[in-house]
Amino acid sequence: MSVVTDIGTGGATAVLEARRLGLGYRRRGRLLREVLHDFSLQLQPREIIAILGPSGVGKSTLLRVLAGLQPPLAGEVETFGRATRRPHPDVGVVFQDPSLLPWRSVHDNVVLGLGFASRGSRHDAAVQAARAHAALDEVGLAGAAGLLPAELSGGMAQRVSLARCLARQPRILLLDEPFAALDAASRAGMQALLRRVVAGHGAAALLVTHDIDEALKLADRVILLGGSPARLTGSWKLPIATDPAALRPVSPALRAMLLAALGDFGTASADVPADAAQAILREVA
Amino acid sequence: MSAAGSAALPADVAPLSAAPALRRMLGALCLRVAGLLVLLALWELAARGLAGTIPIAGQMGPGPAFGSLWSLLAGGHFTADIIASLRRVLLSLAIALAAGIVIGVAVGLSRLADDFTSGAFQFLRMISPLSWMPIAVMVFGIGDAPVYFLLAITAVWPIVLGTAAGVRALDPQWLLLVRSLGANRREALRHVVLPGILGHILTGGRVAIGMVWILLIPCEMLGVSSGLGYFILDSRDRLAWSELMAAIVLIGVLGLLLDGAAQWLRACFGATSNS
Repeated sequence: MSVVTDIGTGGATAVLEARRLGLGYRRRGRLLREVLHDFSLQLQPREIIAILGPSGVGKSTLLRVLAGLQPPLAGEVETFGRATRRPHPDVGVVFQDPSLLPWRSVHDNVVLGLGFASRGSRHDAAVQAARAHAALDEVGLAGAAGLLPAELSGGMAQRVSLARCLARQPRILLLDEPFAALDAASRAGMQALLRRVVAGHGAAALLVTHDIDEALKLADRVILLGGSPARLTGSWKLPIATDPAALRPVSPALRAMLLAALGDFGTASADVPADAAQAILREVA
Repeated sequence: MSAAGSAALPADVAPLSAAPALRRMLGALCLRVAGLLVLLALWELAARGLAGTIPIAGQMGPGPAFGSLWSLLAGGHFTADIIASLRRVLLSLAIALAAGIVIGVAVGLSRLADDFTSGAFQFLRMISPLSWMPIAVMVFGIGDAPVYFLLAITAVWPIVLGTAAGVRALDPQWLLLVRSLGANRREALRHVVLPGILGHILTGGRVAIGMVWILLIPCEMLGVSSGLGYFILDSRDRLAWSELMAAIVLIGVLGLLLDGAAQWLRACFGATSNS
């Protein structure tokens, strides 16, 4: 029994849309294992969606497929109304690993995404440098531009990775557990920063995470994956935020229910009882 | 956040304490010089000890050798030979780099190419390049060409192996990242693959320089009329024993300098590529 309370509101305005995606592992054309089945999603402008699920349900794969970095087994992805075949210039991806190139300075890492031919209108060096500086300033690292990645802490490296994404002025941010490797203090700082910059840029964002609190603090909509192969087992739209730039207060009831649904740190997952979900939705709405 | 970020900066960056490192470096340098002095003393002792039974050994001690080295260098008699030898080393190294990087990238990228070539490469690598000498002379004739061939075939293996290891060590996440930033294959190659493997290429190049320099001397003893190897044979024929020893000293010194240059290049361009 699944509860699907909401799958977006009307297709015309969605900036990113996934239709009946199937994900899995294939070898020599044969399907070895399907990890995600029949998954659909619509990301609206300025919306932040968190996809919650235990490890191993293909959340990272899903994000790579949505980013156009790999094709799905089944179904299709549309970015700004067009079929996604390759990474879109207006989509920025932040991975769990900051993946800074160790031989480039912080500034040169941020500039990296601005000079490729596929961006069409290639900016000259001065514009690139100005954009990189602004992005680093936004994440509070303007003073670290000359450092090498080896000289950064984990939290700083992830902020540089976010700056590299922001410098391209993306309209959609796709984030794959971007704060999972950080300690609690830097994670809280990064979450506040993310919510603020996404609101500031007027961008939409899709965040993949297994951290319930992170999902509830950041997202306007929370989507739960579970089962094997995983499917969408629940989707909750949270009330409109009073301050889009600030973290949301976490509803204890919704948190408790998601915790129960995810199981003990997500090894198993259960369908959410319909009546419980309805009751909680009434409470948060 | 901006203020907090800047304030956090000094604490996040590991403090560098220079003094103990400097002291250790000075200590190591002193030991190195002391080791060289002991080597000189052993050389002197050997020359004196042998002088009783082999009279010419007297001319082969450090004293006469350094005297000849000084006069030959000052008189410019070594210049042409040094240039000839260095030109052979650098040119064959360039040939080996051009071929070795291409082969190494292919082998590193493709499991198939690796399996296909590894047996053959290991086999070829184990054959002393000097064994090719008669064939090289037959194919390339007398002169510089066979020397280039022999030196290049010596240098190519460490470069192939280094490049392939570098390609395999590339973080696949970097490639995913530049693709997500919109890079095409050529841009990914230029901005990630090449800088990422540069350290390994330079390591392979350093090994290659050492091997080429060692092999250069015997190569120059056949069919050429310049270079330090030729000079050794020539000074033997002229019975100029102190000049022969001077050439040996020079070969060692130039070899050290070449290795130092290779090490320096690696420190400048390759050190950060895989940390």
